[in-house]
Amino acid sequence: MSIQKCEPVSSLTPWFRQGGQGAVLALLLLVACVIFLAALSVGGMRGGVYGVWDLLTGQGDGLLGRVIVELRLPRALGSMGVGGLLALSGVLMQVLLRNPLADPYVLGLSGGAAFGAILALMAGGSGLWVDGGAWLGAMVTMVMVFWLAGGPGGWERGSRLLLTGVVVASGWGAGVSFLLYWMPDERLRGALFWIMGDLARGGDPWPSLVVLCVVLACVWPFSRALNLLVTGPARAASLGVAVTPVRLALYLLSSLAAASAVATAGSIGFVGLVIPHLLRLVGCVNHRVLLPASALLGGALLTLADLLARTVIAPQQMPVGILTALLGAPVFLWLLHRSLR
Amino acid sequence: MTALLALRGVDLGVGERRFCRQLDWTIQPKERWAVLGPNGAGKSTLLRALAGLHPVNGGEIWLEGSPLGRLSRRAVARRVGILFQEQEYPFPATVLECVLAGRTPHVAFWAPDTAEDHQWAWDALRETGLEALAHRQVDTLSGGERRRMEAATLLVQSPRLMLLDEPTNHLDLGHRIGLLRLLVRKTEEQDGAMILVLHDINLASRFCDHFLFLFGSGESLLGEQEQMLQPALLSRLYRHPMRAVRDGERLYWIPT
Repeated sequence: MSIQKCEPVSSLTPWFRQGGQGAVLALLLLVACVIFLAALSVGGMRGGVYGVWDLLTGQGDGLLGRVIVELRLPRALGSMGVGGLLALSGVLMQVLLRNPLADPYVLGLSGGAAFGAILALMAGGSGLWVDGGAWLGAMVTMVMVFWLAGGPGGWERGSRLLLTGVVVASGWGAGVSFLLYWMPDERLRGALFWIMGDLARGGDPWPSLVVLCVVLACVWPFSRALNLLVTGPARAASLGVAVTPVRLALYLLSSLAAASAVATAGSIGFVGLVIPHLLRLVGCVNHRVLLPASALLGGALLTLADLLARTVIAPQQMPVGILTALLGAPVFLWLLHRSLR
Repeated sequence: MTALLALRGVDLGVGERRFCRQLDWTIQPKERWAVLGPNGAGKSTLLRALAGLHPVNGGEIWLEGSPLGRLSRRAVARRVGILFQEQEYPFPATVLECVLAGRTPHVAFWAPDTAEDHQWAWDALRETGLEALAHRQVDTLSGGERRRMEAATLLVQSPRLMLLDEPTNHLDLGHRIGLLRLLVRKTEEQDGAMILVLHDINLASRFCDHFLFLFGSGESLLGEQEQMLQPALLSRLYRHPMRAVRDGERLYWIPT
């Protein structure tokens, strides 16, 4: 398989060159704000728009106000953070592997995190132990995939890496099934969360938001180096990029981003793949814009997906990971099909 | 006068294969070297080693009097530019964006592209005749156009030492001469030097005054044009009989 190409929509491209890039960021920021407010307003209790307005003008109390502040706000913040992290780690992995199909879910990181978390649950751990297990699982997977798919020219061979990732992911899947089979019934529900990817756990949204800001602040100044790295380590080095330290940093930061996202919300698929691809399709290829734009759009779209997941079959709620995987799988197949042509 | 580049006792190889042993080689400003040799003799690897992109197995390389291995990537990139034999562009980018990348070693790593950077890029595009293609996607270019774009990137980088790995690949005959003339003029303006890997002896003899032969066995030979371009030597190099044909002042080399 050759490395996947994505052609920008040509009519938009010249507009980007003429200073449209700032406008794109402003537009995405606006979209993110609208979706964020919608996520606060919509839910089982009606009249949310007024509730949000009341809160903003400082007179929000009563039940609706508490529902918004204590339930919807942390969830919306969490989905913004997790979506941003997934999209950002997708971009970084794609740079690192020079392959637009790289994504934490496809490479098996989410599977590793789920295995680690469920193993910690089985061992009777809770809270930090489980998060730590997810973290460790993601990190181990990252090392494994990169090491197995490495070797001379290995990282640049898209097929080898994807195959390794897919096989590692299915290995983790089998491990998870094994654990679930032996798991006592009363713990099964908590374990399912890690497989499906759900924002309903109501965890603290701040760690993911903080990690998102830290990772973005660390990589954004290196946009120029990232633009060069996608054309190959040799060319980047010949133009003065210190390739080895930059790649090591990218590797650590993309793992950090993916692992924090998974530890907060379980394995949510394909966000890291679809978001950067969408942006590149409209001509947003410079990492100076692509990095912040991916974080914004990833957060916005995951929040929207979560909003849909908890409203379409209300009063039932669906884990958001099911929705993104349902939408992401066909998109991924379409991209793969295009790259094989 | 400090040599632009100096190799002292350099051993180079990959795996079991040896490309050169104990190579002593000095490249002075204004010199133009051609590296000739059969396929797989290590010409491209040698160029990469000269740019600090491939480790040597022994010996030392000095760039303008400093050991190459001690210089930062950035410091090397300001002095040495390399045109790779093949270059892939897996992600979309326009010609202008690719050419602008040549400014990287000269600006702060976090700095956005300035008007001055664009001036450099447009000058290079004009000189390589690519102005009209500036906003085209790289993967829509023909092989020759892409080669000229890579040369334009090199002009923007403006190194003193240019390492060109088969620079005339994909180029039509007119552009071959035009592009090499342009690169020669640019290195002369900088008091620089160039090293070309070529398979076309006649093109090499037209543009280069010095030759390095890599025989593929670890043996290497270097010297000025008159002593290097000998029928017996070239026949041994390519393992095929070669002879010279005279046309007025010039000698042309053909395989018999």
